Formats: sequence, C-alpha cells, structure tokens
Amino acid sequence: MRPIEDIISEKAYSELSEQELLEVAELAANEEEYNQMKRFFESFATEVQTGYGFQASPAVKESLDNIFMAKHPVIAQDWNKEEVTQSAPIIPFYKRRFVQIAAILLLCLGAAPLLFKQDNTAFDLKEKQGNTLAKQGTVHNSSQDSYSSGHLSTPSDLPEGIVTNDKHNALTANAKTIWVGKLEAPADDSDLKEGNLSLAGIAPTFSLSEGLRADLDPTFGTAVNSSTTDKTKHVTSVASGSEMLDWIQAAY
Amino acid sequence: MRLVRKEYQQMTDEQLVIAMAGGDKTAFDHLYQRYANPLISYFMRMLWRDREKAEDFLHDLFTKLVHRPELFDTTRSFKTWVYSVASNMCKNEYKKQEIRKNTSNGLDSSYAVGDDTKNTLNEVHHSLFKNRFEEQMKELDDKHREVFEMRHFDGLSMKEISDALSISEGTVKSRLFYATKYLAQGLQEFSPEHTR
Repeated sequence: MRPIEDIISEKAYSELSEQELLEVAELAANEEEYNQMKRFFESFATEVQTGYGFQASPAVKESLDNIFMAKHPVIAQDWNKEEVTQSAPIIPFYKRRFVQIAAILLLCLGAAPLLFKQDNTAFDLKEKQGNTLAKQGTVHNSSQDSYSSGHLSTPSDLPEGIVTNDKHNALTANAKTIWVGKLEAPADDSDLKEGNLSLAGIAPTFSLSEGLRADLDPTFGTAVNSSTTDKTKHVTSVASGSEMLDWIQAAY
Repeated sequence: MRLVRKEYQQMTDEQLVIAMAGGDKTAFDHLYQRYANPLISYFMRMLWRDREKAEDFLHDLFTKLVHRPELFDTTRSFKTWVYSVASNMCKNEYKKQEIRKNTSNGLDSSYAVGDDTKNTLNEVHHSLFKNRFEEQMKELDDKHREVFEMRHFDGLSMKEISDALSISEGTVKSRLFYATKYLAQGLQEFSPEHTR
C-alpha cells in the first residue's frame, strides 16, 4: 500500500480512485483540504526536510572506535584486509605436501590388496574349472569301462547334480530315487546273433514304486486276470534273463 | 580471497549487529555509517537543537550497543529498535529537564548559507517558512511531533513507528494525521499559491 503522503503529492484530487479517496478521507475530507495538504507536503519537502540533515562529528566516531577496541582487543582486526591475507597465505588442506603424500600412500595401500585378491580369484576359478572337467572325464570313462566290462554304472555311482554331456547317462536325482536295480549284461551276445530274442541283457530287476508300476502296467493292482497279475509279479521278481525268456515263450 | 570477503554493503542491519557483537570492527563501522547521521538528526530535533547533547546521546547509544549487543533482539528490526532506544533516551531527558528548553535561540546551525545567485525573496520565504514550521512543531504535543518526525524526517514506516514507540498502527496513523493537518493549517499562508 502506498503512503498517503505520496498519493497526495503525486495525484490531483480528481485523479483519485475510490480506494484512494477512502484512504485520504481521514486527512482531507474534501478537495479544498486535499489541495491544502498537497501544498503543505510540497513546501515541506523542498524547504524543511532538506535542511534537517545533521552530521555527527568525527570525534564521536573516534571515541566509539576506542571503546570498541577496548571491548574486543584481540579480534578487533580486519582480517579481510589485503595486507593480512597476503602476509599469511592460506594454503588449502588438500594442497599441502604432506597431505598429498599421505593420500598417495593411502591409495597405494588400499589398491594393493584389491589387485592381489583379483589374481587369487582368477587362479581359484581356473583351478575349480579344471577339477570339474577332470571329474566329468572320470565319470564318463568309468561308465564306458563299466559298460565294456559288462556293467552299467548306476546313478549311485554318479556325483549328485552333475549332468554329463552324454544324453544317455544324464541322470537326475529324481531318477536316482526310483532306480534301484542293475542292468545285467549278457555273458555273450550269441542270442542276438542267432536272431533269438534274448531279453536277459536288458531284463531289469525292477523294484518300482507302486505308483510307477501302476503307470507302466495297466493290470497292476487288479484282480480280473489273476494269472496275468501273477505273471507280471513274476516278471518283477525274475532274477535272471533265462527265466524271463522261458516265461515269455510260455506266454506266446 | 575476494569470494570469501564479506559484502558489508549488502548485509542487513541485523547481520551487521551480529558481526559486530563478534568483534568485527568493519561491521561496526558500517552500522555507524548507516545510523550516525539519521540519529544525530533525530536527537537534534528532539533535544532542542542542542548539538552537544545530541552527540552525547549518539555516543551513549552506540556505547550501549558495543558493550551490550545482546540487548538487541535479532528477531526484531534494528531500525525500530534503535529508534525506540533513542526515543526512550529523549523521554528520560525530558523527565530530567522537566522543562523543555530551547538552546537554538532561533538560530538554525544547520542552515546552509545560500549562494549569491539565489533570489533573496525566496531565501526570506524559506527562512520564514522554517521558522514558522518550527514554531508550529513546538506547539504540537510530544506524541504527535515524535510520530511526525519519525515519519517525515527519519523515513520510518507506520509499522516501524508503531514498533519503535510500542503503540498500535492505528494510533500512529491518527497521530500522524492530526500533526499533518495541524501543520498544514498553520502554514497555509506559506503555500506556493500565496507566495508566487
């Protein structure tokens, strides 16, 4: 809000807005009083206000300076003066020589263990990879050996969780839980040569879980054809390949 | 270093007082520079144009500030605070003197002698106007005169005057209107229309 004095000094009565008229009303109720005020402020501004500028004598300031220096004897110095700042240059902390040397040493000491650690890690990784490959090779070879010697390696021989590249030997831990039998290789492969079917080589001695047996054998668990059931049961309990062959021949 | 150097000119009065309280001499110099002349003018007007007394009062006020800067509440405006202190000092002086005396003897020490080219009639008119104005001011109550002077000589706002004198803004306004109206009516014959 503008002071009323300014409004009166700058504007004529006819130029006043409604708001300004309300503000001025307390000082000047009508145009005549308004003009009277206007003339007063003009004269006052030119003839009175300008003549009231007094100045304090320097003696007052000197005395006050002495009082101030007595009150603040140590710190009453202008630290911003150039002489003060030039005579005692302030070197930033990070630019001081000993700080820089200490920083370099600290950096070196901090970096050295990291470099060593990286080398060890690389070495350990290589060693681990080497061990894994060696282990896989052993497994593969052993399976081949066992096959050639008439035995297939059972999943129990394999290390858990390792899947070899050979698809046929890929066994999971789940498979391992249901595989409890052994595949008996035939003493010779004469049966195959003569064209006689011999399942002895592949006849497994199954000991399957009931659920799996039911899936494999639709007649499992039913009493409709007891002989078949018995025979099926017999298959499960057959011990050798020749017995299995006899059973199949009799059936057909 | 120039970046770190304080810009005293841009510092507020309150900041200068805080710096001064901490022993910053430059802050004190700047504060004195800002308030010495307005305060000496105020004391001169309030203490019957007695320059010696006015300078003593100015000295006392700044001495108080140096010795006990904690007296100033930094949340307040320094301007209003310093004028309230000055006003109280004058009131105490009035009580002490009981009778207001006029040491100026009608002579204005601050009145600058004009150059020869000035119109003599105008000078006479100015002098007469001033004398009449001062007479009118003396006739005013202290409370009206003080408000008028604070407003028109010291340039304080209504709010600042009300803070300095611890009165409401409405009271300041009514006192100011009364004083202005009184002076305007008393000096009516000196208005430009009558002299030109």
